[in-house]
Amino acid sequence: MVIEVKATITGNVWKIVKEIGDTVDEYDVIMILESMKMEIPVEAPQGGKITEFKVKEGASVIEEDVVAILE
Amino acid sequence: MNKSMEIPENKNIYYFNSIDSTNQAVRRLAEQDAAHFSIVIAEEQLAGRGRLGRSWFSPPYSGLWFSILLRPKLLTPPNAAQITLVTAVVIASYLRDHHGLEVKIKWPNDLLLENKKVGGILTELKGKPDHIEYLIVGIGLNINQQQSDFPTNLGLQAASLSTISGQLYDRTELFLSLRDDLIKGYGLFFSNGFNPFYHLWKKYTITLGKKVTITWPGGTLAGEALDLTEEGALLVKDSLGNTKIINYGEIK
Repeated sequence: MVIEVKATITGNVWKIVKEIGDTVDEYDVIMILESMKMEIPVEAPQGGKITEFKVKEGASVIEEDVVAILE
Repeated sequence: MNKSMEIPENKNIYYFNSIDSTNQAVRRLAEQDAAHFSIVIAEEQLAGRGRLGRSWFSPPYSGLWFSILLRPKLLTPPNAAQITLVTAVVIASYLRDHHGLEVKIKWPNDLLLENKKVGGILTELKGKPDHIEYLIVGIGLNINQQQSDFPTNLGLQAASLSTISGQLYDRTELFLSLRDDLIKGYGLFFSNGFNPFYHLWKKYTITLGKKVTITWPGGTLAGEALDLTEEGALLVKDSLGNTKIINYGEIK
């Protein structure tokens, strides 16, 4: 099953803290966004294995953008 | 100056002599279901943090280092980042109205006196695209430090209320008064949105009308800061005359 991980807020991808192939549990932080000096961790909505990042560090995102794919 | 604060016992204020970081402490409390408006305040932070992992110089008995837990019911994540601007406005208003200090704001939320940084705000959000579980607002304010107390690499850019005014401040009184104003301010923000703070932010800022260079991990933009959007983003006109909406980055 493919699970989309979505951005919570419009901002910038500050740091990707996991790597492709990593196995994550529900609520594990995958990356951290930044917007107007707010840091927003993006968490795994379910457990799974990270198969793809849709963004790189420094990229702009808007809320609901898919930033990573889990399987 | 080396005097502890005298914080009254209150189930929602957690006072520490020394702690890793007040934001981290609030996050631990939040995960244990601590209440809306719970506050952690410490005399000293051993791992005080500024934005994006930078350290924040927070020595004992000289400043205010505290973090507030907020659990807004109606606010959604797209508007949550405005809390940083709201916090800056409330603190600037308090210091202007009660202490006569002409505090300015550099977008989005650096607090300056005479062009030197006296305060910073670090906010964090936990939630999903349509739901906020909690917000943490971390505040660091330099109060009674003297210029020689700052590390040499900060000395030229940093100041305290005391280095500017020549006075020493009662940090307990300052914290309790500021806490009351923040609680009122957040209540207004959660019920009425950013609008009540918008014009004050523009009144207090040093950023608008200036040439700015904004940098972020993926790029840089030079131009003129034209205005603040009603959402709190910065409108910048670049060298080609194009107007960009800036939600993030560091102004140089």
